[in-house]
Amino acid sequence: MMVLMSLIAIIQVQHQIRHTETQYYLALQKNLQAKEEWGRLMLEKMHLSAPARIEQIAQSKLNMVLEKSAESHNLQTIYLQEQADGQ
Amino acid sequence: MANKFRRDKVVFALIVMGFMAVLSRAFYVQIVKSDFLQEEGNKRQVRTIDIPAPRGVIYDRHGDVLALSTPMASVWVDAKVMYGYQTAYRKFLKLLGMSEKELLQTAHNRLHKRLSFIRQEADSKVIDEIEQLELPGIYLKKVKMTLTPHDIDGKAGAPIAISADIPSIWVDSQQMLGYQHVYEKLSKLLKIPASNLKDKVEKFSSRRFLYLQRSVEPDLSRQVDELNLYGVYIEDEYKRYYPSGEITGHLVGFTNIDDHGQEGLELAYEDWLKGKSGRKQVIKDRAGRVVDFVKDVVPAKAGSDMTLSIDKNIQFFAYRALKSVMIEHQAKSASAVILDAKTGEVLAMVSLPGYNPNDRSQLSGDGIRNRVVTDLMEPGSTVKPFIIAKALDLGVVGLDEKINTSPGSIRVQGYRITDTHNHGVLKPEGIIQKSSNVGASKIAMRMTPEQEWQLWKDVGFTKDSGLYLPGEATGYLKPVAQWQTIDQVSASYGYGFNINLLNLAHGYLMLANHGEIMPLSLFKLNQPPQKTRVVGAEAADETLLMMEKVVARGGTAPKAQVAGYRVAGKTGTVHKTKQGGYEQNEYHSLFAGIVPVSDPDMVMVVAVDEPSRGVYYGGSVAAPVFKEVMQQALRLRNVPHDEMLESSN
Repeated sequence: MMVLMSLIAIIQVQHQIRHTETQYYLALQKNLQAKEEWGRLMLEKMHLSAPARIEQIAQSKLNMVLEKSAESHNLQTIYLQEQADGQ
Repeated sequence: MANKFRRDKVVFALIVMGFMAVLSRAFYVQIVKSDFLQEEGNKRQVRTIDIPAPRGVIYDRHGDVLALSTPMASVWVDAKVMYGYQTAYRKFLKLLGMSEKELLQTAHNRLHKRLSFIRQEADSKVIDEIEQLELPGIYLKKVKMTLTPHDIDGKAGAPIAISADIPSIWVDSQQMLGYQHVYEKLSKLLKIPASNLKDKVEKFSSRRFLYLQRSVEPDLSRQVDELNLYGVYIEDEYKRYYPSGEITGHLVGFTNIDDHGQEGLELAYEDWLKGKSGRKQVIKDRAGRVVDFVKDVVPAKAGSDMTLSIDKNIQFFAYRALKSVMIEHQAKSASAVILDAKTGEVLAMVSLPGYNPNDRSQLSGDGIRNRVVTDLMEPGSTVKPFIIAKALDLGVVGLDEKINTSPGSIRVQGYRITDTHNHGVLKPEGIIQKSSNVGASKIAMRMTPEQEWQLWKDVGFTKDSGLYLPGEATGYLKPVAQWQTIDQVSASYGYGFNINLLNLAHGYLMLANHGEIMPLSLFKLNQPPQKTRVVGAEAADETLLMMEKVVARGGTAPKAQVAGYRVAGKTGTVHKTKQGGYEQNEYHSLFAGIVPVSDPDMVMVVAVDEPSRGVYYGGSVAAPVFKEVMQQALRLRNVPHDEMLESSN
């Protein structure tokens, strides 16, 4: 009886091991895929945040230039208010 | 009766013997020889294949990626198999006497279950030959049947009666796709002309392994795989990407197509970066395609990552400024190094002309040299502050001592040393500000050769930078025993010995750190480095204040001024050496600067080689680069101003 039970138990444990192994490999696979995805996204991020690209967009689309002139319409007008109590 | 009984026994005995034979054979095969047979079986279908491992990632100091491996695939063919199928298929068509179109049309119209009936063939020679071709998807049968063929869409055709007397030829059109139009199918996906593929396979038709295309994107490789062509295989591999391209090209270097480091850090730290490919067992079918995965024997081990001390943004601004100075002054080359003054970390290292490591066609020639370390030069006037600091430290010259440099030239051992003008009587401050060779020489002559030589040794001019960058040239300084007075004197204004740009920048750390120097580092440091003293703190600080005068109005480099910060610097305009002397009209323009003076944060050294637009003084060519880069770098590093901003109206 004991022999029979332990035989069944062995089979049970083997099954569990196989199951766990499968899960382990699946997780490993997932890890690898996630890493690859991360790499792709990272490259994309680096491309989009390249200083040269940012500078170009800032200058051409947002008109952010250091030189202030009337031609480029980036002068700021500050109104000076006359104070109420004279002078 | 006895006779009958005996017959029974005989039959029984025979049966028993038969079973015994079967059992013993089974025992022999299943138990005695099982290991051997299993192994033989595995040899025929279980294959161990390599799992490629990615190289480590290279990060800059803020965690931005400078080099990264992404999965790619190679498409390769077993040219022998592929070529074999091609010739066999052509022969098959010839034997049938049909064109491919006719064959396909027939197969299309006469589908019966999975197979298509082509025709019956009476000529046994033809049948023999077809049999010898061993083409997958072609079957010879001897059956008697009447079938109602369907075409692909399921429309029934006229019934055909087949007799069993002569063999009939059947094809599986699905299986035949594996060798029909292979070149055209591959050419469409890989964008290589079909004729090129054909020529290649035919030329190397005895090879069992032939790359068709490497670095194929995963999507595309999957499509190739789904074609299920005989003899075409996909191999996983990794390709290295350099998101910042040319900007960090020299420093990071590049790998070759097999993912081995070839230049820069990729080469220097190959062992650290490279991954260890693993092995896995798979089951392959007869055509060599993987049908099942067994297990990982050795898991792939990815390479280790590294975090550099480089700041990607500062590197970019340095690169851009050098590029524009190259164009503006039509220079042969330009390079710059920026160091963190407090830790000795390299923040940026740029050398131009450069190359884009992502473009394989550029990876040769002059451009791949990292001139910061590979090119030696005489540092010229940029080393004068060292001499002054050492002299102050030794006490051989006083802060306010007046030194007469009239008439702007002196003779030492028959050699004439000159200044650009007659500067008259100068204090040490004036010698640095006006960059007087005569003044520096006179001060140098007050030291012993050993003292001066020790100075150059202490600031690291006699050894390499310790960064292990490939191709680094180590400077040459004559041994002190061979020094004559003229060697000692010319060394004081930077001639007669060779260093690379990195050495010069390293030396300036001494002036930025109150007379102490620390080793350089390309990697982000977690703790402050060990410092060693070269000169006293007071002497170094005084010298730094003198160098501030260089950048002030009236100095040689007012163009290095950065709004809101106190800048200390020193220019150098060095005649290039030629065989046996100096070029009259070819110069190295140098500028070395420290900013901000009140609490030095960065050291930057700029070198422009052969500016050829008439302007060649370090203060006019190299100093503006310093200003351009530093105003961005100081902003990026949040360095507090140490001077009032002039109102910008």
